[in-house]
Amino acid sequence: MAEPSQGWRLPEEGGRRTASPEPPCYARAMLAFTLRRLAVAIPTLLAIATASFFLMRAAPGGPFDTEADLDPVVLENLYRAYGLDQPLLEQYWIYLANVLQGDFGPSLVYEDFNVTELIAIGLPVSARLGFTAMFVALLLGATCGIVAALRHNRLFDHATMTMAMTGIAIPSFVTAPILALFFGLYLKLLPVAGWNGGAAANMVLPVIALALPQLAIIARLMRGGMLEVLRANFVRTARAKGLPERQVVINHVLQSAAVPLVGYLGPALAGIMTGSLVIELIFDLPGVGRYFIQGALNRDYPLVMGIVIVYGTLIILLNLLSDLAYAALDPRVRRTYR
Amino acid sequence: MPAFRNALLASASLLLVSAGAADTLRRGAVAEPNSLDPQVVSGASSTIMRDLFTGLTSYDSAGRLIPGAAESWEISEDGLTYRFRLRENLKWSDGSPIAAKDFVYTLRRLLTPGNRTRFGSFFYSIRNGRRIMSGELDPTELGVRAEDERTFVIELQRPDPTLLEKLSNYAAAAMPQAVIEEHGRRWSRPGRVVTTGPYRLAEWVPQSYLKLEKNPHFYGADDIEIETVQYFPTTNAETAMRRFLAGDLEFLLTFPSDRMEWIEENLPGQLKIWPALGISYITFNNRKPPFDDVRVRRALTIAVDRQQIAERIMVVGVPVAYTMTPSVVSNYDNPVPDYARQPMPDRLAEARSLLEAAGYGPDRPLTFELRYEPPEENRRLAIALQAIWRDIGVNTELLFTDFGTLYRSVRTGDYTAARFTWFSPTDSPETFLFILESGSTTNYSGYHNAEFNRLITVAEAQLDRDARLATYRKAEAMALADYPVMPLYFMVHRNLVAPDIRGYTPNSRGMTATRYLHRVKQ
Repeated sequence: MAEPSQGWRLPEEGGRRTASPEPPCYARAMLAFTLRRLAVAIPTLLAIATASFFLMRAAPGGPFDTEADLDPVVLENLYRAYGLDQPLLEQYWIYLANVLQGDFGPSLVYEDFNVTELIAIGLPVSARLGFTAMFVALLLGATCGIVAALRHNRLFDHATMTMAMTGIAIPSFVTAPILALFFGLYLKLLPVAGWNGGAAANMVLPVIALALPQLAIIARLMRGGMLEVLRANFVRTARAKGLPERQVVINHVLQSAAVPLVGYLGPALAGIMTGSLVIELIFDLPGVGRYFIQGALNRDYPLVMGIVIVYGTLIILLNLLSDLAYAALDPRVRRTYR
Repeated sequence: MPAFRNALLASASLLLVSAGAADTLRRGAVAEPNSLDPQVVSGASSTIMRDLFTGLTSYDSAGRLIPGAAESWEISEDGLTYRFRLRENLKWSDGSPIAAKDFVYTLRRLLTPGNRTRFGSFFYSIRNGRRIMSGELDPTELGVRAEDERTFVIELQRPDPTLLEKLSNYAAAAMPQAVIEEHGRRWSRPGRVVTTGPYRLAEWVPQSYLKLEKNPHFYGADDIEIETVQYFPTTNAETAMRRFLAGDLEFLLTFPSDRMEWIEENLPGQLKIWPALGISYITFNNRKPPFDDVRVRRALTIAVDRQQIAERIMVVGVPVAYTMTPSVVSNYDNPVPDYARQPMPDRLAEARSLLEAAGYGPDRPLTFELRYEPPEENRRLAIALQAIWRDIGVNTELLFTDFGTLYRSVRTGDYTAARFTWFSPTDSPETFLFILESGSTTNYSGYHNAEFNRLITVAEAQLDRDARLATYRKAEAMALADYPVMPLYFMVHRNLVAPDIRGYTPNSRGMTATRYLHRVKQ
């Protein structure tokens, strides 16, 4: 099939990278935008650190209170050993100074480890789960959304969207145990829990449980975007000039329809990593989420703060990435970044 | 679908592996250890720690006290000097010899401020112990010395009838001075830590598992059948249960109590429940209204039908409690108060009239806040108490908090009533009665009775066991007549054990050391 003449394309057609080359100031504008965002990130992180430091301290109880039978002298010694006997403001300054040097301090719950070591152990697990789940959700969700939009108001559309609504409505702490019971105990196909060094079999169920709600949201977003773009003028033009429907969809619709999805993906990826703490508990996975829960319950100030700061940074970076991707996809957005 | 096929293959190989490694025992752990330093670790990880470290004394498979690193000991007539004879050829897990001076180092380190140690207060009876812990004296002033390579001597400042039991604690097992000084806080990592117990640390993946392998240099290594034991920390009890049902874990120290009936029906013989050295009780804040009035405390205490609580709320079959000291404590006849034998209608009638006498009635009902903490079964208990007390015209407001918040509020006296649990490290009444002694760390109720305090001091100095227990009994009966706290039920150990695992006798201490376990062919 011959490619029709390029001269027919309208400027607002979706701004593909292969479209007319950008003026040279584009790269510089993007760089300036990125730098500006990164500069704003520093006070944001500082505010996050400060707020979480004082909020943690405002919570009743202390790090060693769960060991109910500690002698007062023993307890006093423990507080001194960890510098918790200092005035609060002083502890805050010491903490900030240490964090700026990349030292999150010792954990108070896992006392043989530094917070940095614990995050280095847990984050790869959470990240691997999160990325895999997001990849699965994106692949299946986008496909479902596209097909549903193309079969608008037909059986496939209704079936997919009903399933998507169900997927969004059922929380993962319900699906996870059911998956474990069915595939683990009943069918005996997969392990019910455990990490086992990240073996594929151990990842299947947690990834499904994590991916399901995301998959549903992505399918709905993709379908919505598609339906909107399918009705747009440039698509009608493309059809009018005689392009086959397949080319209309692949060359013209998809890229524009994906724009709302890109905006969603950045925060969602950060969310799926933080949000996996329920999954980590139910499947006994050694991710950061479990440290976070244990840290919060046991008032492990440095551990909770460390995780909050790392997640804060992740969210800021992923948001920035998704904004940049936005700009790459949509010239209108790009213009506002100057 | 190659990913799915891989997953299937991987799970099949996983099954093969777990079937092949018959000498590995897979145990559940309630929580990740906060440390593997035996003097820093908290009580929750004691099973793991006892597999790794053995003190001067130890326990057999039925929880009876037996010699550990020491083969024998002599106690002076005044009960103040203990002379331990160490075993011949006692070795660390790296094969180097353990000497008496290592125990001197251990106890000094335990009582040195700034070492983050937890169990120091166990050994305040050792001469100068408390003053060293509070920084007044130098650790070298502690009443411990090495007389020669194999003779270790402890001098006490007051008789301590539970010393031998307490010396079985891993915190008092020999600590490797050279390793600790070389690596500091990180000495307890795999590859560095040397142990003294039946096992040594092979791997530690936080939040995943701990792998322990048999210590060939342990004095009793020849009798150990389980070559490798893995502990999997499972914070979620339901997950632990699923892993047990899937055969992934073989020994659980606890399980969700609402699964009790199902377990009894479907896993016959795998469930082990027996009384523990622990009590669940309600602590009343005696320092402020309404519980500064003994009539109110008595009314609430006698109104609760313990049998109902034990049978209908705590489904796991707990023994009912009317005293602080559990009935399972050896050689002790616990002083059960008279109301325990009265019929419930009489008790309820008396409770109502007591409240009336204290100035409460339909127009001015007694209202107070009851605090409780996880797990879920405590919620059922709190709701049951609320319903029981509503019958005598009391409004109970329930407040659910986490452990930390609860402990902080009872420790600072900032509460009205709270549900609490106490486990004793020793098979004796003393730590249960400390809960009622003025100035004791665990006296959250603020109860004060000078005569009770005096009797406790008298008992502590009595070397004759029967005389001492009789004094404790007298003291306990006296305090219970003031209803400072409300005993509810005694704790139980509840384990789930795979049918092919044998080798231990359920005991009140809950000792389930891996060194005694073995697997039988099914």
